Amino acid sequence: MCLTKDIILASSLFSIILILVSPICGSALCESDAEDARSAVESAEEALGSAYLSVLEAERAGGDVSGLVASLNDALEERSRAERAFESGEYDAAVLLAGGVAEGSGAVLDDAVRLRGYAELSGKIALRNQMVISFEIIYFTIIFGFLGWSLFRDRYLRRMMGLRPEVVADEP
Amino acid sequence: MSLDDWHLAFVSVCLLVSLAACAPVAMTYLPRRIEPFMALAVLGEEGMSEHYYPGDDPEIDLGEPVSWTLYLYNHMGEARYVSVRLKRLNARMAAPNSTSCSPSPAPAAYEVRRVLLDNETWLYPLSWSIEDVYVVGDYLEIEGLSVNGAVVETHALAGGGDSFRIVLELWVYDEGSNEFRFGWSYGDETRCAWNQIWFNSTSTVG
Repeated sequence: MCLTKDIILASSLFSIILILVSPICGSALCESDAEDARSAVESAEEALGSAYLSVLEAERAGGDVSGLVASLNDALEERSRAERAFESGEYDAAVLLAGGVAEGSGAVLDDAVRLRGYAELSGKIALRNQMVISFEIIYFTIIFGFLGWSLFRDRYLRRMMGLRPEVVADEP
Repeated sequence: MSLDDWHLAFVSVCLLVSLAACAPVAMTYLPRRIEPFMALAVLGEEGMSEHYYPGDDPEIDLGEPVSWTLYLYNHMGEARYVSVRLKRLNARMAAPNSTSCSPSPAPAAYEVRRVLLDNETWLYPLSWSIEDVYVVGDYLEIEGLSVNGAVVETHALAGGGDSFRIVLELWVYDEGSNEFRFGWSYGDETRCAWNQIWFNSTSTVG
């Protein structure tokens, strides 16, 4: 009888402690969730910034970045959704969406680095080809110019000689 | 024409052809001379610079939807990561300063980000309405604003005939600091773009 009474008393005490402690734990957990979500959104923003800078470098190297910019804009839309989810207290959704943004930004960054390398190489090859073409044009201009000038000069001199009146020796 | 004249003509033609052949290579090393700028504008309901208010009445009632279109243009010579920040101010709150390119100290109620390609124009539909107001005597505080479906908190009081205004600021991602900055650099100068549209909301009082 006494044992039953003790069990009832202990369980009541445990329930009271649980009721008193649960809001504190709940808010602490909630704060932790909010902190995690905030950190995830901030990381996503940093990833977006890095991806944009890589795209910029690829563009400066001469690459066509329109596809990468479109992917970045998709990631930016997802970032807006992550931020809205965070502001409305949907922290799990915010973390999930921010993760997607970071992943998308990482893919853009990788593609931009590859594009930059390719664009730099293509630029060097195009410049080398252009220099070779320019050199060939100058070379042939000098050669054919010289030959052309020699031919023209000979013809010009012959014509001038032909126009000159014949001088005949005045014999007594 | 004498032979010397013909000689001069031949040499000149050869020189011109050689210079023309070098031009494409030289062009790649010459800096591009363009004046970089960005443009921000707010267009009315039909995408024109008119009909900014429902029924052309700047008196906006509670819950009355207002539809605008944001116009952004990038002429910076390369892609730009931009952020347009919407702020709601009253007549007495400090607006952005175009001379010093300092933004309004008011917090942004809404933000939209975009990466714009060089020479790209972007149109963004912006729909807003007043969702929540708090009335104190003759004064009215707009506490809630719905922008594109997202309800945002704002705090600006206006009364005694004062108007409210929506300010839109163009922030550009800065490579050096890795953060958004109000305006952009052009040589040693900083330039900026912002826009504001006034409205009244007295009819919601009472």
